[in-house]
Amino acid sequence: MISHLGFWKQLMTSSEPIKPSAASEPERKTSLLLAIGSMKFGIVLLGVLAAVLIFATLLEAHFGPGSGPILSNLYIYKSGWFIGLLGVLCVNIFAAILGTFPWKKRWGFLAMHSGVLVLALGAMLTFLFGLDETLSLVEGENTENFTQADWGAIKVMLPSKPDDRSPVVQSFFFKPGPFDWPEGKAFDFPEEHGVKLKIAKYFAHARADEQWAPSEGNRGEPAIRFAIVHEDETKMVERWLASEPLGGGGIPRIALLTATTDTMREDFLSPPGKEEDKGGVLSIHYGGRIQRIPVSANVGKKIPLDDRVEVEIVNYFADVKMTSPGQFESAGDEPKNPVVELHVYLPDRKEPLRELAFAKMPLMSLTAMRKQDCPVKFWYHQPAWLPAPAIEFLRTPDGKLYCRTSLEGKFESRGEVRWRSSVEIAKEFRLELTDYVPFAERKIVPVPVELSPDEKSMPGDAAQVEVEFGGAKKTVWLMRNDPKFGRQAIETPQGELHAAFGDKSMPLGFSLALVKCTREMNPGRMGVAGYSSKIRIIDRCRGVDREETIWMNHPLTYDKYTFYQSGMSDLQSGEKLSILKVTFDPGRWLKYLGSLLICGGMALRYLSRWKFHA
Amino acid sequence: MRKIILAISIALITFGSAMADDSSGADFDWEMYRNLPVQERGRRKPLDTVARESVQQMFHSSGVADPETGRYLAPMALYLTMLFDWHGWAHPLPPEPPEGGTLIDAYFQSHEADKWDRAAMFPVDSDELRKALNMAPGEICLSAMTLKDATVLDPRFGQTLPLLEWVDMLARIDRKQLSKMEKKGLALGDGFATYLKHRMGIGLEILPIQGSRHEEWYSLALIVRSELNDENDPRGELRNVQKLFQMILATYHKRSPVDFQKSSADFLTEVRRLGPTLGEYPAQKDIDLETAYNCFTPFRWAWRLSLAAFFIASAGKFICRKTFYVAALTAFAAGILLAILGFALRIEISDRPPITNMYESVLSVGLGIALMGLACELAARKGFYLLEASAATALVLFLADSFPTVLDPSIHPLNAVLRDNFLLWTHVSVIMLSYAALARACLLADIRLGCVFVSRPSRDLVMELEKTTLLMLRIGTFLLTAGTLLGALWGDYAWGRFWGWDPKEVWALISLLFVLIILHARHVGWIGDFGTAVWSVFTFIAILVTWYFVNYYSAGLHSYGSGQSGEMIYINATLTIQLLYLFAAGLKRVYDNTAEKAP
Repeated sequence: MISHLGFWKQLMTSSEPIKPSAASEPERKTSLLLAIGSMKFGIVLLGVLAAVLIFATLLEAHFGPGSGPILSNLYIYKSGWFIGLLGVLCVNIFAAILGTFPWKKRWGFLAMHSGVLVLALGAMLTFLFGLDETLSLVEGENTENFTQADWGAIKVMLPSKPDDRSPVVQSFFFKPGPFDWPEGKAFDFPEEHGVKLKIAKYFAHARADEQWAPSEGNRGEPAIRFAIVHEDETKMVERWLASEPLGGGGIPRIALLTATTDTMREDFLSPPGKEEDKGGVLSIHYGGRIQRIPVSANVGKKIPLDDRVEVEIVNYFADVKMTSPGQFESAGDEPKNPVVELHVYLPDRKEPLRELAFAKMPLMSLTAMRKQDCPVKFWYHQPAWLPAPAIEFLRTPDGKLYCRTSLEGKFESRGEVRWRSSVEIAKEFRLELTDYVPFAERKIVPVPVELSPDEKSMPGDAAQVEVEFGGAKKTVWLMRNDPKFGRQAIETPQGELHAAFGDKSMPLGFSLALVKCTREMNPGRMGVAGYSSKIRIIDRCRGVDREETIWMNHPLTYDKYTFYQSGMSDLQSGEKLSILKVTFDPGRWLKYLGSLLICGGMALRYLSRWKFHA
Repeated sequence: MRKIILAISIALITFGSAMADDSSGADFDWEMYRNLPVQERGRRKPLDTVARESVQQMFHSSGVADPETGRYLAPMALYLTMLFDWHGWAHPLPPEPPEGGTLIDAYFQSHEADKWDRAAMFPVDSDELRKALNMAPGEICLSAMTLKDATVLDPRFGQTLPLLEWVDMLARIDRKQLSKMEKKGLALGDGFATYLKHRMGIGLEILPIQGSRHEEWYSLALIVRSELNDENDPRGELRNVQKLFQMILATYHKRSPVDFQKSSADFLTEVRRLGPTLGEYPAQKDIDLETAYNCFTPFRWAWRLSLAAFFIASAGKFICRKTFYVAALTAFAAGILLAILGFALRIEISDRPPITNMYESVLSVGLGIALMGLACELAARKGFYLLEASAATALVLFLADSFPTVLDPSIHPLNAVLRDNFLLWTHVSVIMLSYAALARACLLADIRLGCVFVSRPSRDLVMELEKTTLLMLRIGTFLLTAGTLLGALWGDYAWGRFWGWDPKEVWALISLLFVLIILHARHVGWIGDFGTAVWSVFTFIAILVTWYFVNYYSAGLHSYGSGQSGEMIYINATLTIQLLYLFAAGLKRVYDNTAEKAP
C-alpha cells in the first residue's frame, strides 16, 4: 500500500529525477536569509496563493454579481491576512534575490524578481495613499469637491436662532472599515464647538427598523401601529404610521393628523356641509372655542374674536399659485387648490401675523413654519374640494385619537378610537390599531444584514452616534445618505440640533463644471458607441480656465487627479448625468516600472537560455 | 497593406462568386442581390451577410428546404424567396414601427399564412423549453403559425405569457441571471422576431434617411408600404424605388426569370445610385470584399488544408516519406496563410482587430497553435510537430467554423470601452498567443502522458516532448505575463485601475501561478517530466476557465464576453474526458513503478 505522500511523489517525479542546481537550492540551511528565500518555500507560497484565489473566485460566483465582488474584496483581496500573504511572498522573493548575490550573469533573474517587488511597492502605495472615487455631474453643474465613499462624515448642525441664515455645521470624519464593529468598539472625536461626538456602534450593511416610543414631557408627534386584517384573521400587513401618510394613487390613503387645539376635533369629525358658503367655511379656533365663518361673504372683513384679537380674511384664491416668494394669485376661478389668506391682529404686535389656510392641507400653518407664536388656529373647509378615499386619524392635544373615513367625497366619523379598535375598510378587510403612542419619538434601529446570494443590492451602513451638547446627551442611529433615516433632530436646551451621516467630501482644489455630455450611438441607434463629457476647469490659483473633453479610453489629468469617463445616465428630469471616476495613484509609475522589469527580465532570462533542440 | 488586401479581394470576388453556394437550381438569379449594401444592427454590410446571419439566427442552419418542393435553399435564395413570397406588400405600414408582441399582429393582419408560416422550421433545442411550450413528444421544431399563438409558463413571472411578450420581459433581465431554458427561449423568440421583421421587409434597411441625426436608414417596408407624395418625397426618388420593387414582385409572381432579372437589375442600380445622395453610404468595394469573404470562407479552407496536411503527413510515415512530408508541410503552410488572409479580411471589414469575441479568440488561438507548430517543425524537421500541430489546428478551426450558434462569427460594432485599437491589439493578441502556447504545452503533455500506455516508449520522443513542453510553457509564461500586464496597463489608462481583482484578471493570475509552480518545482526537483506533463494539463484547464468559464459565470469588468459561452455541455464533456485520461495515465504510471520495484 502506498501512502498518500508516496503516491504523489511517485506520480509526479521522474523515474530519474532532475537534480536540483547547486546555484539555486541552498546547500546549507543554516543561514536565515537562505531559508526565507528558499525556492521551496516560494513554491508553497505560490500554491497557497493560487488556492486562495481559486476560493475567492468561487466565493464570488456563489454570491452572484450583487454581493460577490464586495464580499471577495472585503474578506479576501483587501483583508489583512491576504495582504500579509503577499507580503510574505515579497519577503521570500527579496531574500531569494539577496541570496543569489553576486548576480553575475543572472541579470534576467534579478530584473524579473525585483520587478515583482517594485510592482508590489507601487501597489502598496496605491492601496495606502491612492484615491479611487466617483464624481457625478449634471449638465451645467459645477463642483469643487468629490466624495470619498470609504470615509464617513457625521455632520452636526448646531442650534441656531430663527433669523440665523448660516448656522454652524461641524463635520466629524471617520473611516469605518468594511466590517461591523465588534461589541465594545467605539470611536471618540475630540470636542468641537462644544459638541462631543462618539460612534458607539457601526454596521457595515444594515436595514432600518422603525420604532416609535413615548417621548418625555408630552412632546413629539403621534404614532400609531396598525394592521390590515383579513376576515379570516390573517394579518396582511402591519406597520407604523406617523406624520407621513401612506397610500394614494388608487389605494386608500391612511393618514395621522395632529390637532393643535382640542376644538379641532369638531372640524375633523363634523365638518360643515356642502350647502354652506361656496367659498368654503373657515373654522377659527381661539380660546377653547370654535367659530365658523363663511369665506365669500367675509373677504376683506375683520372678525373680532374677543376685545383685543381680530382676524381679517384678506384674500381668497380658488386655485392658488405663487408668483414670487410670499406672493400669491389665483390661476383660475375653479377651486382646484383653494387657499384663504388671513391676518391675525394680536394686542402685543404692531403688525398682524400673516397666515394661510389650505383646504387640501388643513393643519398646515404659515406661522408655525416660521416659528411664530399665534394663539389663533384655523381649519379651512372648501365644499368643492372632494377628499380622496382615506382613513384619517387625529390626535388632539389631550392625547385622544379620533378617526374618520372618506368615501365618495363624504367624511364619515368613526369617533374616538383606542388600542385594539377596528375600522372596516372593505368587505373582507379591516384596519386594526395594534399600538398608539400619542406623544412619540421615532427610533431607528438598524438591523445588521448578513450578506447572502439572494442579496441583489447591498444595503448601506449605519452608525449609532452619541451626541453631547449643552449638557444634553442623546444617542441616535443614522443611516448613511438615507433620505429618511440619514438625519435626526436632537432636542437640546439651546434648541434643536441636527445630525446627519453622509460621505466625506474632499476639495479638488479647483472648480470643475460639466458643460455638455454626449452619448454617441452606432448607425441606426443600435447600441451605444461611446460617451463623452465636455468639462470646464477653473483654477484661479493657477489662472486656468479651459475646456477639455473626456471620453472612454481618453482620460484627463489635471493637478494630481485623473478623470475618466465611467458612464452616463438619464435622469427623470430629462437631464443627463455624467459619471466620472476621479483617481489619484501615487504608485502608478512604480507599477509601470515593475511591469517593464518583469517582462524584460523574463525575456532576458529565456533568450539567454534559448536552445531549441540544440 | 490595404492595396494588397484589395488586390486579393478582387481575386477573391471572382473566386468567391464561383465558390458561392448554389442557389439550388432556382429559376431566379439571386446572386445580383448579394452585394446590395444594407444597414443592420449598427453596421453597414452586404445583403449576403444579413441573409446568412438571419437564416442562422432563425433556423440554426445555413439553409432549409422549400416546404413544397423539398429543394434546398441556401441563405440568399431562402431570404429573398421568403421576402418576395410575403403577401402584405400592398398594405400600408402601421404608424408606429411594430416591436415585440405587436410584430405578430402587424405580420398576420396584412398577410395570409403561407407555406413558410406553416412549415416547422424553428428548432427548439431544450427539453425544458419544449415542455414549457407544450410541444408533443418527439416534436423538435415549431412553425411560425404555432409560435404566433405560443404561450410560455415561466416560473420567474409565475404566469403564462405569449412568447414574444415573455421574450421582451427576458430581454430586460441581465443575461447572466437567466436560466438555460430562458436563454433558449430568448434565442427562439429573437429568431421568430427576426423572421417576422425580415419577411415584412422591416428588418431590411436599404437606403439612408437624409439628414438623420443617428444615421438611420429606410427599411424596404417603409419605402414600399408608405404613402409617398410630393411632401415626403419631393424628388420622387423613393416612389421610383417603390415602383421598381413592385415590378420585381410582379415578375417574381409571374415566375418570369428573365423579367425578374431585368427588374432586379433596375431596382439595384437605382438603390445604389440613390444611396450616396441621401447620406453616408458604404463604398461598393468594401461591400464586395465582405461578400467575397463570406463566399470564400478562408477559415474553412484553412482547417480543411490542415486536416489534409495531417493525413498526408500520416501517410508519409509509411510511403514516399520525403514527398509526402513536403506536400504535408506545404498544405499546412497554405492553411496558415489562408487563416492569416481570413484575419486580414476581417480586419479590413470591421476596421478593428479581429479578437473581440469568442469566435475570433478561438480562431486566434488556432492560428497561434499553427504558427508555433510550424516553427517547431521547421526547427526540428522530424515530422512529429507537423502531425500534432496540423491535427490541433484543424480541430480548433473546425470547432470555430462548425458551431455558429455557440461561436457567433458575426461582426458586431464594438463595445464603447473596447474602442482603443492599439491596446486591444496588444493586450488581447498577446494573451491569445499565450493561450496558444499553453494549449500546445497541454497537447504535448497529453502525448507524453499517452506514452505510459506504450510498453516501450522511445526515450528520444519522451525527451523531445519534455523539452518542447517546457519551451511552450516558457513562451506561454512570458506571453501570459506580458499580456496580463498590458491588460493592467490598459485598465489603468482607460478606467484608472491597474488591477481590480476582476474574475478574469484573477484567473489569468491563477494560470500564471500554475506555470510558475511548474517551472520552479522542476528547478528544485519536486517534479520530473511526468509531473510537468500533469501540471501542464492543469495549467491549460486554468486557461480554459480564464478564457471560457469566467465569461459564463462571472459578473466582472470583462462581462462584454458574456453570451458567447454557449453550450457548456461540450466543454464539460471535454474536460471530463481530459481528467479521466489524466487519472488513467497516473494510475498506469503508479502501477508501472510499483511493478518495476517489485522483486
